[in-house]
Amino acid sequence: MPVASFSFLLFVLVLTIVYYLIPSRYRWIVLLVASLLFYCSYGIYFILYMLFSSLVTYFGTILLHKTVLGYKAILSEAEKEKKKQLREELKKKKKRICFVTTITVLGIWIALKYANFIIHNFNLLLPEAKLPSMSWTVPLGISFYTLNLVSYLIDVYRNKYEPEKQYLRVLAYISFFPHIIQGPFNRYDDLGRQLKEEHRFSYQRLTEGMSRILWGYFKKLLIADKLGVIFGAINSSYAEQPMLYLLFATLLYGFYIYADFSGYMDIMCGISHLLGLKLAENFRQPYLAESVDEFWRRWHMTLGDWFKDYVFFSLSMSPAAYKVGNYCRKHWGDKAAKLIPGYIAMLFVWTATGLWHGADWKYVIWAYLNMLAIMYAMQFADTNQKWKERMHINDNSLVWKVFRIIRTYLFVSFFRIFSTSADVSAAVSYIRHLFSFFRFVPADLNGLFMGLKTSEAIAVLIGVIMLVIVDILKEKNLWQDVKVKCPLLIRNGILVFLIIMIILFAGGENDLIGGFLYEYF
Amino acid sequence: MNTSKAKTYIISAVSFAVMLAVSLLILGNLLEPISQSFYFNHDMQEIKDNDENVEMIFVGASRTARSFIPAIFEEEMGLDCVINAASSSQNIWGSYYQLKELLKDHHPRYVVLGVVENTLRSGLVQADLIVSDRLSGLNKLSFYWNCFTGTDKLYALRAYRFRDNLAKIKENRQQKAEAIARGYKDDSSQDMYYDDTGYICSNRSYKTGTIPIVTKKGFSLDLVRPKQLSYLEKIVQLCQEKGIRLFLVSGITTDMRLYCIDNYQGAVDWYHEFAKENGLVYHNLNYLMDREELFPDEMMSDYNHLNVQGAEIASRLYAQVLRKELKGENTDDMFYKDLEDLKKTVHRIVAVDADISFDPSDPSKATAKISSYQNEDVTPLYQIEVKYKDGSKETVVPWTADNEVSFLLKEKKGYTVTVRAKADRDDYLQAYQRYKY
Repeated sequence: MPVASFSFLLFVLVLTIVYYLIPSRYRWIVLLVASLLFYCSYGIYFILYMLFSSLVTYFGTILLHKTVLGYKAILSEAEKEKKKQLREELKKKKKRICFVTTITVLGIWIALKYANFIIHNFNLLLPEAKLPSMSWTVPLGISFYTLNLVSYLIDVYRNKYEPEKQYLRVLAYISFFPHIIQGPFNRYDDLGRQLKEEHRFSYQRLTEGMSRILWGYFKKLLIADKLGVIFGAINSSYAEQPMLYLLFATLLYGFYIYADFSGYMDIMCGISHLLGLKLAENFRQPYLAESVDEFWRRWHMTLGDWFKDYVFFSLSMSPAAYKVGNYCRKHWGDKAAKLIPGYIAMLFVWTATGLWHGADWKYVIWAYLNMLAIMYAMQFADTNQKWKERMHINDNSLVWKVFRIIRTYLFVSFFRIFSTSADVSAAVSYIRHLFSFFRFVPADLNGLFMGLKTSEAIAVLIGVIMLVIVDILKEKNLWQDVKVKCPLLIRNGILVFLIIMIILFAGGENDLIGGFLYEYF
Repeated sequence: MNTSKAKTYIISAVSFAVMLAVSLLILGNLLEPISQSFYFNHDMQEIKDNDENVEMIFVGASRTARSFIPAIFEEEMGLDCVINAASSSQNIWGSYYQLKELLKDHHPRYVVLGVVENTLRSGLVQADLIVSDRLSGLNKLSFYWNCFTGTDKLYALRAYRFRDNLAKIKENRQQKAEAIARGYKDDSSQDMYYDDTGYICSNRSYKTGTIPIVTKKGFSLDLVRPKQLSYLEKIVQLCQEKGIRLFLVSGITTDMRLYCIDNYQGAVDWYHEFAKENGLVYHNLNYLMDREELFPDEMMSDYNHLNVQGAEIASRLYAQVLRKELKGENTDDMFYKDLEDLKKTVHRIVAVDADISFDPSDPSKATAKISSYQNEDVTPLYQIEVKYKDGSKETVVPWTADNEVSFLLKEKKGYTVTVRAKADRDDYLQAYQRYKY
């Protein structure tokens, strides 16, 4: 059931009505059923993988909890000398349970998503092996729900909260349809708790939710899909395009993917809001970031937080990291001791980030470019500060801020050439063409919009300007004020304008558009 | 929720709904171009206002819209008012809803439903839009609900339907004003225009030998769609309920279509059978006696439709057929028995086709297997000409009786191959087909 379709809108409408008619203690069941139906619409067999992974995780967390309870009872009665040994035993057992469960859940994901990648690289290393590739379909959303399950498991392992006793509630959390396909990643203690709470119907939530859904569809159907037409046309024939077109496409992609991904988030957060639930935000005005590091704290925030909490901190605060830190301090001083363990942890995080986005080396290279940019800034922070002082550059000046914002956008756009190309060699070829000054300015600039009509191009431009204005208002913490103080007529006028723009410009021939970009990750 | 908050929410919701409705209405009006429905709806309103007694209604697709002149039927059959409510590519369900709409205000004695070999096979949203412009109220809602699927339902919004006309708003307003100034008559200086109470008129005339094969899609029982058939049955039932006499007719098309459409006779037989089972009569005007003399290619405006001269002849002849039917007289002697019977009167080549293949190792070497449609008493001759990108032409195969010929091309792409045919005893071209590479 495509999100940008009438059947989905009808599904949400019926769900909302049924949800508020049912007594509140049963509403989570309504959400569970609706979510399973939604997921099954993409392929009924996909649900088997989700059920298996969630069952394994559920039993893993129950076993962890029972083990802890069991040892607590023994510890309360044990002698002082025995307690330390028992605690060590408990720690080892917990680790074993957590490890086996995590490996099983991750293993399913890795097998389904990365088997062919591993086989392909193995065959490259050992051509005589000639391992056959697998022909299975990767279940939609597996990259999202697997990490959600792992986060739930690890949180229970870390005693952050007790595990859920009812399996169906765990399933309701994992399968919750607004977040299963493209995220955001929501922690169990947040979303799981919300699913248990009572949510009364509120007209204000209804209007806010619907406005946000409308804004999401506007971003997706008007901005993203039209920019996608231009980007796709230039990217697919980049070898024949003049440099200006390639530059345009490279810079345009950022708005394309942002409108697409954040549009989806707005739709799903809006739907959740209708139902009285709050999903984690994934974006915080990412293109107003002044450094690549800051960009990644504003873009796909929940993924970044996941890797930070469950990979980066686990590695950088591990005993091995301390050992590395001590070694570095001994040989290279305090700065190295501070940075190098972090760099090693970052290497793992960014390798995982790259591979999470896709089973291809191009994603890894894209991730490493981002990582290197962040490492550079960390490594040369002092030097850069001295250089700024020498040049009398004021960090708070508007000109400097704008320069940094543009610079960050250029870096991020350039790195994305790898993630948007067919493979690494295509990316390198694209970059070569981009810098070859081949036909720098085309004879006819009309081709820049690649088949979009003038009215469509103007509509997209208006959409992008609106997107930028909203982001600037949010950055300056003015957005809530604007929404509250905006006169009714103007507010309704803007909503009517969004609807009319969608009616006039959305879709190709006779249809609303299909998929979202992050569905494929 | 306290009362004042509830009031605020209601005002907000209502104001939003009103703003949206008004905006869509204004936008739809601004974007809507002139169409034949613009004139048709005006004529229908005038007929209603003048309390004219509509005695006969035609419904169907373009062959009906362009074959039957209402004024001639009024004259020949002594009827007060005749309407041609057919429109281009009108689906059978469109005909049903169109008829239902007209029967809200009129009580005709006769309805003529135009049917062709693909009436029960096809469904086209664009065609449905023409019909929907002529409907109103619950009839229109029912039409959209039943006949438009999925996102096509958005076409109910005029702003969505005409959204491609954003750049033409000024032009649309100007054209509408000019049309109103002309008294709602379509511009008769155009090639094809709206003439009178639904009839679409064309002054174009085809020269024999210049109509290519457009499609060979044929008729078979498997292609009769249940939905389309159900609407045909609904039309029969509607007429029975209203006490209206229903006639089924197939309008004139070119010989080429009769020959090239697979199992054309199968379609004719099917309609005869259906008519018999439902107590109706069906006439295929293509089988009219002396059809070859009455409707040469010069009477056609294109491969499938009559021009104004042809429509005049067809209308008078069909009016005669209907007069006889109404008197209870047999009309079989006005028609050929079947397609084979008709073909015996055709002494020319009606169409030519070629299967052109290229040497895989050398694309400049081509072979054409030519086939043509004619009776056994006609010996065909073929010629092949190639036109290149630079405009130069070359006769690569001069007139020959061989139907498998080879020829050389100067270029690998960007050329057009024209295959022509004529009878060996005639000097004039009789058929041609063009292939672009």
